[in-house]
Amino acid sequence: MRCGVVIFPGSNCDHDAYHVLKHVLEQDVVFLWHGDEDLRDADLVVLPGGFSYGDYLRAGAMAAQSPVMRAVRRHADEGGLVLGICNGFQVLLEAGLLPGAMRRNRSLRFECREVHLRVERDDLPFTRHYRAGQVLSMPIAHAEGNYEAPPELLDEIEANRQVVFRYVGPAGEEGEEHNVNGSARAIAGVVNREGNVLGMMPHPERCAEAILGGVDGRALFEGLIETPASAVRAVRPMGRRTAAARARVGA
Amino acid sequence: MRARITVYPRREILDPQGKAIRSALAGLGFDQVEDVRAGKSFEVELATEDGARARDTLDAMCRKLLANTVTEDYEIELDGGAAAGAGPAAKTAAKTAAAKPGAGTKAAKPAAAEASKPVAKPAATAAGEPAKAAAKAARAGRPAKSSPPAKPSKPASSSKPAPAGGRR
Repeated sequence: MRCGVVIFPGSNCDHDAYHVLKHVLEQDVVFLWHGDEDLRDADLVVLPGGFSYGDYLRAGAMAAQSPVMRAVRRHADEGGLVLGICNGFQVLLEAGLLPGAMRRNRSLRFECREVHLRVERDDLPFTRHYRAGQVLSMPIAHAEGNYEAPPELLDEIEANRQVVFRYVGPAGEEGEEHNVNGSARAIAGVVNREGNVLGMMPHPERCAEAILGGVDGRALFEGLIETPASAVRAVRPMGRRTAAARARVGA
Repeated sequence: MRARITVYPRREILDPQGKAIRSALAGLGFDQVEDVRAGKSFEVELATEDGARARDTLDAMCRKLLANTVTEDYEIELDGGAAAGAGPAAKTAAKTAAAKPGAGTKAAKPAAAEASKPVAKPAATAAGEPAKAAAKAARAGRPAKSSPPAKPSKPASSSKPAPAGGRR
């Protein structure tokens, strides 16, 4: 699969994402420049973590207006895969490609630690190598990951099964003490209705090799690169997916 | 034409920053403070003298970039005293305007102190005094070219705890 990793001014996890895709999973990877409206034929676009534009105005707000995001929007509209990690998630929210917004962490601190995540659904290209209910261990590192949306929008997101990851305890149990940043309904990752654009605050690219102390993130990338581009574009709008549809996306 | 845009978290949404500032104020003995919202403010110079057009343009700017309307409200003030409320926040424009001259008089203080001061004022005002009358008087008396309140508050509200070395 051809992968593109976007570089915004202030991105700092771009090389981590590149490394996982290129050296760990041996894919064809290119860097994409924020000022170019060109995805260079990438099937998967990764918006990496960092502090794009110094987090001016709001985290992700400036990057969301950059030329490359016009191309990312078209790519997403055509069913192409987009993964936003951390600041990349914030950019997707600010660009309106995902619902909701980020506020500062409830603690008002930059939270940098290992967290437990529960996989809420395993029928997406991003999660097909996980099981629903599986608990993952992944690092987070952010100051603005406190996910927020109006109550009616939260209900809609839940009804559409758009919540992909939630902050939980080690056994998968829910509880505010496990909700590291105070996110509404402990949401750590959200997908769009069509299932091809995922944003998540935790860093799967930082736990894709044993030498880094964890490998739980690797399966996310493996699921992505095994997704044929044609299947991605056939992903249906949300709703409970039939067995036939699951087979079509190869889940 | 100069305009001032104020953006702050919606009332119904918990504002962690405002809450922390409120408890800091309580710690300093300002125990009459009931609520604090921490926002940001922008001064925009527009190449037009047409107030209605300016308002439309500024409103579009707020919706597209300056505010995130999922979590934030905004209000627009055109220079010359024409307070032009926009969005759901229009009603509170007077209250915010009342705070600004107060903030301006403290302009000589260091930035850190300055950041928390203006926030204290509107909350105290809202708690007891006739805010609207105060706002009207304040607006009438405000010099056309005064600008100090916007500048110190912006870097303060957008500053991060520890960007240096912190990867995300």
